Amino acid sequence: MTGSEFIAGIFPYIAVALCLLSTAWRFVRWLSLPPHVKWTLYPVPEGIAGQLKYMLKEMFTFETLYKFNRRLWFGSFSMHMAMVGAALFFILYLGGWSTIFVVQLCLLVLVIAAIYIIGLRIYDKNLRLLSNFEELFNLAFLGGVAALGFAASAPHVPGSLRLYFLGLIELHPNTSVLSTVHILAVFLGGLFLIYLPLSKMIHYVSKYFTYHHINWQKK
Amino acid sequence: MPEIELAGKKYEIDEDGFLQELDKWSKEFAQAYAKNEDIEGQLTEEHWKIINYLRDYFQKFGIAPMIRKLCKDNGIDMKRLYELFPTGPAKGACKLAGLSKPTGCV
Amino acid sequence: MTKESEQSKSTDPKYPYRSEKLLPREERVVRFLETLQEVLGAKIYNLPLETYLGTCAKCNNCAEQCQVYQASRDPHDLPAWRSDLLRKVYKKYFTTSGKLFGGLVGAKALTEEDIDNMVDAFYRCTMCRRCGVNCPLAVDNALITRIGRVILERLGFVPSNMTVSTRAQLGEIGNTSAIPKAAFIDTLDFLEEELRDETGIAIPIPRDVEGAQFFFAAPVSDYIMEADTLLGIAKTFHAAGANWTVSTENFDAINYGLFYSDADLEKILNRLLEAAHSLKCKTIVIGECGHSTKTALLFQKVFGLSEYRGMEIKSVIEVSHRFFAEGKLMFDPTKNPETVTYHDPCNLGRGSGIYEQPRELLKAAVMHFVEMTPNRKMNYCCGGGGGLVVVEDLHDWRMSTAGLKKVEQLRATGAKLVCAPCANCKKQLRELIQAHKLDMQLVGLHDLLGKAIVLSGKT
Ligand code: SF4
Ligand code: SF4
Repeated sequence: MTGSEFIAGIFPYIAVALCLLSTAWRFVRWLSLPPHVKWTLYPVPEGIAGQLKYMLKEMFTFETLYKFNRRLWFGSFSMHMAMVGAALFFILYLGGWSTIFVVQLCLLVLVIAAIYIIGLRIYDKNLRLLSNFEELFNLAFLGGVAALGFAASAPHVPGSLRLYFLGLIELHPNTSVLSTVHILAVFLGGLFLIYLPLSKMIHYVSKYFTYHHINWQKK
Repeated sequence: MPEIELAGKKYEIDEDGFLQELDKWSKEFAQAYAKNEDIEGQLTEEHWKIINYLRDYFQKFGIAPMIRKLCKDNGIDMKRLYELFPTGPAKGACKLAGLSKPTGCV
Repeated sequence: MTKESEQSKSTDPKYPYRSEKLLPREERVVRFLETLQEVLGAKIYNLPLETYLGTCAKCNNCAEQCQVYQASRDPHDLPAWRSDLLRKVYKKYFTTSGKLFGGLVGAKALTEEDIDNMVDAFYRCTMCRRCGVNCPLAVDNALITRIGRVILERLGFVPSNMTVSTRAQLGEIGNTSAIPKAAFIDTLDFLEEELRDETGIAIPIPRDVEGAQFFFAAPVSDYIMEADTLLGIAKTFHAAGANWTVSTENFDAINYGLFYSDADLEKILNRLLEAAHSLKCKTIVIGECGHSTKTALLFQKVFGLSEYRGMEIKSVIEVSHRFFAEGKLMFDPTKNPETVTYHDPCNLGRGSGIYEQPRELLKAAVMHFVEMTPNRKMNYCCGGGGGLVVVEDLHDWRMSTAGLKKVEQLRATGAKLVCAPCANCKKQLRELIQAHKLDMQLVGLHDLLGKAIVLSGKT
């Protein structure tokens, strides 16, 4: 097996598995911690519906940032939305829809947003004070993955790319159809998936705990 | 322990200026200290009444009285009390009376 | 002489407040790390600590929430910067990434200078939790401040105003203001006299009544400073026909442990619970005081002895509100003609969820009520929270910086009275009003209720 066969044929499975495992591990770890001191932050949204509403609103508007930190909101909001968008429309694309241009758009937004936030973190005196290498690295990493993804899919997506991913899903990927840049993109993307849950970007899990188990703890 | 020299005599006080021993107190101490607590000139009859009342109560109970009681028993209101002791009853008045520093949220 | 006592009575000008006994400088780093390890080992804080310290996005949203930073504009008052002081240490010694990558992931080996920074920083946060409301990740910098202080205490860094008071409370006298029992009884007698003079009827302040439904404990400073609050509470209980009592053995609800020590918190809390338990009371009613209400509510199930865990804990505001809702209280608002505004004490609002009850009571008992802006969960701290109000050394800073936002807020209401049902807030607001020459006065909630309450035909 050649290196590129490994990267395109085996590594994606490893990356996804590690990503899921690490996420699960952190979730279980936090779930298993004994109940701490009650430290509710009132008011607690009423009922499950209220909490869901608050969460969804926050997730899809980034309201807290919007209200108090508009400059960062522009970058952060578009970055997160572009991430969701890229994944969503890519799945649609695999499903046979011609949505790849939306994916490309999202990737472009991701790149720009990452650069914008890095700039803001360096330019703004307070953000600079708070940021360390890790913050910048995470942004650059994400931006890099998006940039490679964009390069791999622009200007025209070969039909073979779709077949490769469908093959991945069906567990017999055809790696021979990929170009070097495709393989690089797959590699970097995989690395990012492995890194994501181990980094502080695990906030997609921690948020569940800080809200539901701490701020909204009733009893 | 900081010391303060007033009218030619040395007194031991704590860092916030409270006299350390109740029995070291003298009228001269109170008079000489008054300026530190934003009271101009000689202490008046009214001041002495409060100071003596505070000392009596403290001798009996080991603590300053409730401020309301201080006012009522001396026939003055809070406003007058603050006029007499601009730095407040808990600080100014108790300090001049040689009481120990009140603790807690007072 | 031991090393510790040689160093006692620090008046080191570098430190913004006096502490009683400091650990020698060269021993601090080791003790700090040991204590942090101990805190993590105790497990009760791991979930918040791991999530808060591990995931803060450094978005700096908290800055515009914090009344201290907004007044000082000093980057060292950025909530996330302060929390980072502890975060760096935690990462360095307790996370794999920090051990491997060090500074790249924001980890840093602890130095004596870092500790100096923390001594300052953790006592420039009032633990008001305003910054937690709009943190996208629900990180609570106030809890990090608290943990930081708990560790610093073990190095000797804790304002002596707090330790002196706590010692009085845990010692023979048994309360933070060192009021002897005889003086307390004299004060109760005086209050009963006042009640008779004011109302013409005999309203008792029952003492040591076994089996009373409500065990009442005020922040003890009320027995020196807040006659009207206590009179109002006695009238309310009386009007509602409640069976209540105070204990002449333990009448102090204050628990400064919340601000610097779990060990002291636990002892103080259990003293209080024990006092109510020994009188066989079912409900502990805490007077107008934010931090002691929150402490009792939050920590009863964690630090309270198991036989005390069944007792109910309520703020006197909730109890009065319940009486009111049940139709047991009648008010004549014309007795309170001035415009009144309400200050939400952080520990009652954000900390205990008491927002609407005091407002409903006020609206019934005063002629004109105006809201402060912002209010409720977004209300600004008075600037004396986190126990800072008792720290004399921080007085000027409290007036010039921590309380500045509050002063602006107060001024904008145009009210003549500001009602704040919390002993901490009362002291700070009084001082702010004096220092900034505001044309208003401070009152407690029950002061106003007591004035307006209609007692058996009489008002
Ligand atoms: S708002 Fe929350 S996540 Fe953002 S910097 Fe402050 S504490 Fe961190
Ligand atoms: S808890 Fe309050 S004082 Fe402390 S950082 Fe947050 S907003 Fe500022």
